[in-house]
Amino acid sequence: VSVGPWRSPAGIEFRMSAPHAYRIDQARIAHTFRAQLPDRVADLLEIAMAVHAIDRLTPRSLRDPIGRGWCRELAPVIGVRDVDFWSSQVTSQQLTRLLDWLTDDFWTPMFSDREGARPPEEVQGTLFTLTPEREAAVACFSGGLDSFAGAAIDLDRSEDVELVLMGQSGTSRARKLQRELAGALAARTARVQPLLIKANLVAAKGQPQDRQQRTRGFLFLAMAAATALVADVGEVRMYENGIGAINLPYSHGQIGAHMSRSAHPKTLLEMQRLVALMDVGQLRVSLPHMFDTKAQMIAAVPARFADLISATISCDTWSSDRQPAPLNGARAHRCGRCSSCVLRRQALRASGQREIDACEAHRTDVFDRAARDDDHFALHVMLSQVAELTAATADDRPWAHLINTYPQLIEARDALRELGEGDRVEQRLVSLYRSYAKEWEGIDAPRVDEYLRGVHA
Amino acid sequence: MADGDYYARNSTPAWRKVENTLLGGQDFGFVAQLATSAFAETMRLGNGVPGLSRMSHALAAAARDGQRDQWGTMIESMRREHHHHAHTETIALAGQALLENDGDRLRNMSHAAIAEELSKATAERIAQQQFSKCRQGRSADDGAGVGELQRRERAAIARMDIAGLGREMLRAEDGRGFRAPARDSKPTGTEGLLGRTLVEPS
Repeated sequence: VSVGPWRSPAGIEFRMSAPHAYRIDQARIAHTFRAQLPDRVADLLEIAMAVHAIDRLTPRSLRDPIGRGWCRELAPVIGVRDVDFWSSQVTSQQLTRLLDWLTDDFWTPMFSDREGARPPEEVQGTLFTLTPEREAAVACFSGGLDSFAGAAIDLDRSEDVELVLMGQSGTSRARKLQRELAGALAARTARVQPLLIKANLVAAKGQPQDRQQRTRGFLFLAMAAATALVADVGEVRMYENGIGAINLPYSHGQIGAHMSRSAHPKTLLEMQRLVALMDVGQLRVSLPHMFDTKAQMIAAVPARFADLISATISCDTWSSDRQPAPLNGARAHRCGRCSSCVLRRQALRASGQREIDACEAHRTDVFDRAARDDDHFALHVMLSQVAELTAATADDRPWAHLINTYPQLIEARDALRELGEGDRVEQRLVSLYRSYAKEWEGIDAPRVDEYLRGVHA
Repeated sequence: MADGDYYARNSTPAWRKVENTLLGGQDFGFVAQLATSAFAETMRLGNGVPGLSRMSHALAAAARDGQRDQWGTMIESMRREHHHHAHTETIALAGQALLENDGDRLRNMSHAAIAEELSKATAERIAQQQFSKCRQGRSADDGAGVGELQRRERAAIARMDIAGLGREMLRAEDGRGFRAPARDSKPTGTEGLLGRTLVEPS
């Protein structure tokens, strides 16, 4: 088994495979449901992990002011079980389309026969399966506020539905959080099945890595899709608020995949199409809270689960934070500066959960004027976007104004229509952004006032 | 999922000059002149606007015959062909907004006129991107809010010769030989520190 990377004339060509370059605990999916992993499903997991490993181990060159180093040429050679299927023009084009869209790179995936013995979960049949007996769905469960709120709302709304909470992480810190939260939900309702899958790179410490990790969403979705297919469940639910799912650029200087597209409707649509080509079962990928803001999601969390909100963590950096925590526990988990921390605080305040926000410790309080200017970067750009959204949604023709400012919404709208959200998508998106902008106007914080209205206002 | 959002924070020296004048509350005409020069430099450094002519053909077809699917396919293939070049992405954004909001107006226009419209809209968006890059995360020297900064930015862009830059983009799609439109300025008669005569916007 050869392990890359090395540079070829056509770009960067990789040959890497488990267990030399990465590990993915796909056996857990099979064991949980006492089911066999179909070949193409096992291939999907392997492809997603290989692609993710390559993405992480190939840092982009970000020095060029015109941004020419952003796009990489990546030509992975991935060992699979069904070479004919993955090499076929239709499948390979669909995979390339999805990866290009997610990462802004020039992908040319190639496939070869997988080497090595096949693991037991692929060859051993089972006497009986443990797939859910009632109506069920697989929920992507990161341990963040949105994934928790979405699960809590669904469990409360329907007494019949069973949720398989699928968590994926490479760090023990994130897995611990997911385990505790899923466990707490399972203790309060018998309709939760936690499934935490470990997936990480091997011996990658100290190697230069790409910080953006745009394929993380693909890996997460692939695992959720594999879980749904093995458990014979027809739906994957991505609990993400609409603002975060579309993730419009905070600054117009952000182009293409500078903003993460992990939960973008088009990503979900392309993933759904890829799974449909695999012909191993029906799968629908949905965004149940596409037209809700984060604050609206929090407000809808039922009272019996509300105490768990403060146990969730939304920070972008906490699971990879390498700073040693002092013995007295004085160093807060949450950085407070990243856009995820800022959005969480905004949403908690706007949903009337100000006391939770007040109790949560952050290393930086960006709402306060005392913090350093550098720490306010995310807040500043977020409020720049809010100012534009306010102007656009107050216009007589709000949709026309919105797409003139953010043409990215057109692709999101088209994907949502194809995902079956109906014809009123435009009005619902306008209403979503109007609510979000209004929520910000109601946030009572010195820095927010200063940025939105100016120092002398 | 807002993980790992990326902000390009490295501008060229010419755009840094624009940034300082904009945040310093300088005259919009002066900011616009500096921005026009910086724009031309961006075009030369960034290999122009790859894919502009082919995308304008596809846009014309989409506007005339309603072939929106082909326009979508063209966007995807151009993005890939030009390795997600920032300016190619911008043409796609400008074209999508034009087709959506001005589809009826474009329908009766000639192909040349549509190409000019697309290049003008692209030039305006590239200018907006660069201005945004300049002011992202920074406050104005006079404490103006983000809304006021956006108004100033729009005022400066409105004074740039966007149509002229768009025409030059069509002429020099590959960026070589890209020239900024002539400055709308007059000499002041005052000599600067380097012995040159200073100019001001007329």
